[in-house]
Amino acid sequence: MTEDARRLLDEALAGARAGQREAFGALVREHQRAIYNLALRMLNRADLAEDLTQDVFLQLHCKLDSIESTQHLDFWLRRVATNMAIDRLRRAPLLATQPLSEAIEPAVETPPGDHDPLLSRQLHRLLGELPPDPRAVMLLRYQDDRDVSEIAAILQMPVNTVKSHLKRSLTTLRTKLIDGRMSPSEAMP
Amino acid sequence: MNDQLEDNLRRALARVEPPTGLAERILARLPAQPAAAVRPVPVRRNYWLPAAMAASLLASVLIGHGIAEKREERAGLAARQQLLDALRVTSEKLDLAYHAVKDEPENRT
Repeated sequence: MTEDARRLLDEALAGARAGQREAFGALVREHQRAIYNLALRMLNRADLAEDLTQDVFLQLHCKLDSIESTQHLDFWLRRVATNMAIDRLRRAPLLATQPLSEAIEPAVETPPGDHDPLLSRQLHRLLGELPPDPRAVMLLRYQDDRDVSEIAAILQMPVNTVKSHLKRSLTTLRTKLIDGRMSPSEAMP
Repeated sequence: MNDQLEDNLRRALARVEPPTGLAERILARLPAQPAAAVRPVPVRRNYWLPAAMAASLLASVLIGHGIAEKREERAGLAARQQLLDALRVTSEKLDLAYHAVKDEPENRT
């Protein structure tokens, strides 16, 4: 982020805390894409992802006084979004395993310009089969581009647990991708 | 192998655009007065009225307490007088009884 962009965000945060609606709107527009996509890949449904995104920002509106900086805001939004998503997944276990391709329209499911949409759909489906906590770790790592210590801070999880989730999840994904590519006869020893 | 899988993951998880109008729908749900920005407006209050009311209430309580104390004291004095009267009557009766017994012929020695 450039210095100018950071300064504008600082001003938007200060304005939002002072009750300026337009300033709060600027914060929403700056962060909605990241939070929506986090929710989308956690919940596997666009409608639920929008609901969750709205709830996250409504909660932010009530908690503005506790936000100390734009960096704190960054962490706070992701923490609240992942905690809400994990909570909803735990309360609706069937949601956790719903294949993404059945829940989201293909036009939304894969990013534009994706050179291998079939592989992307496979990865979406396999990520959707991970338990909530490792799924959140994987999304923060590969969608949000956070390092291990940031993920640990956001999810309030030990660093070693984050590393363990990453390692096991990658192994699981790789194994399932390989199994998916092999025909039944090739899979037999 | 992990690098290739990680690259594929990053591509698969590249962000899509949120639904059109999402920000507007969020802003539409905000309360009319931002909750975090509500600041109590200082209001000039007339403190003399509630102070006067508190003082009169206190005075009423104290006066009432004093009256109750006086009433209890009078009741106590009355009860004491009754007791003394009762004791005096009893004493007089005892005297009479004593003299009656003492003056009995068979009691003369």
